Amino acid sequence: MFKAIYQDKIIAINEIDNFPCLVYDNSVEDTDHNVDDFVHVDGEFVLKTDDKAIRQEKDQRIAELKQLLAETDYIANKLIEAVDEAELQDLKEKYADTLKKRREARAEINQLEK
Amino acid sequence: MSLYLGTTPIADSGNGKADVDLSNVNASGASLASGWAMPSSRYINLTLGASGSTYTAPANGYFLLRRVSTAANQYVSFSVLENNIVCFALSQQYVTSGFVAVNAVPAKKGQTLYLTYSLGGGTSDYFRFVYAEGEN
Repeated sequence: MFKAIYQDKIIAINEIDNFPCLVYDNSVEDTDHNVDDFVHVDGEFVLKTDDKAIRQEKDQRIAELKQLLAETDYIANKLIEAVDEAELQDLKEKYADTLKKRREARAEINQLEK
Repeated sequence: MSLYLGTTPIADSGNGKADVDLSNVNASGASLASGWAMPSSRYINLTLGASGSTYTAPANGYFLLRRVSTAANQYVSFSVLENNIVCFALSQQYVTSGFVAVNAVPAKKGQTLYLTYSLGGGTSDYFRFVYAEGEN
């Protein structure tokens, strides 16, 4: 694989030593890795094992989980607004799968944010 | 303009030719000329660099990017520059994951595209330079 370098950063990667139109300083061959070993983080490509890549992956997972929670907040509101115990139990049964996913999501967020 | 030898025209050098200000171009000529700036079916594939990379247009044409959003609120932003002056710009943000974002911006030969993005990408993405119809 080949890496296009610009101002000491890897700004593009591909399998052929050809980066048409791209403005870069030089390209170098990397025989130790392949394209799938890299990920885009903040304007450069870094190895997936790099701290920046690990942090980004963690942040992205947290964002996904928080999105899931946000999208299912209406269920929590329904439970809060249940008028009696019977309605509360009905709602818990109806949304059991989603409530389980919400609990798992919160636990995973707590784990990732440690 | 015709050149005569006696009463016989020996050359019609001006007939059928456009004026320097193109004031005598007919409808089909104008249509043809306007079409030269439109996108053709010819293109080259480019390697999408990191966000913040720049690309130089190899001819008159269009930079075309297809990329999928992989999370909510991802964005893409194009700025076409000449001598550090923005000549054309386009920005989009996508509220959902899984949106197939396809955007194109025109660029004149030698102008540069400054491209920033957070779109995560998918397996069918592409980044191309599409030549204008009038380019060979």
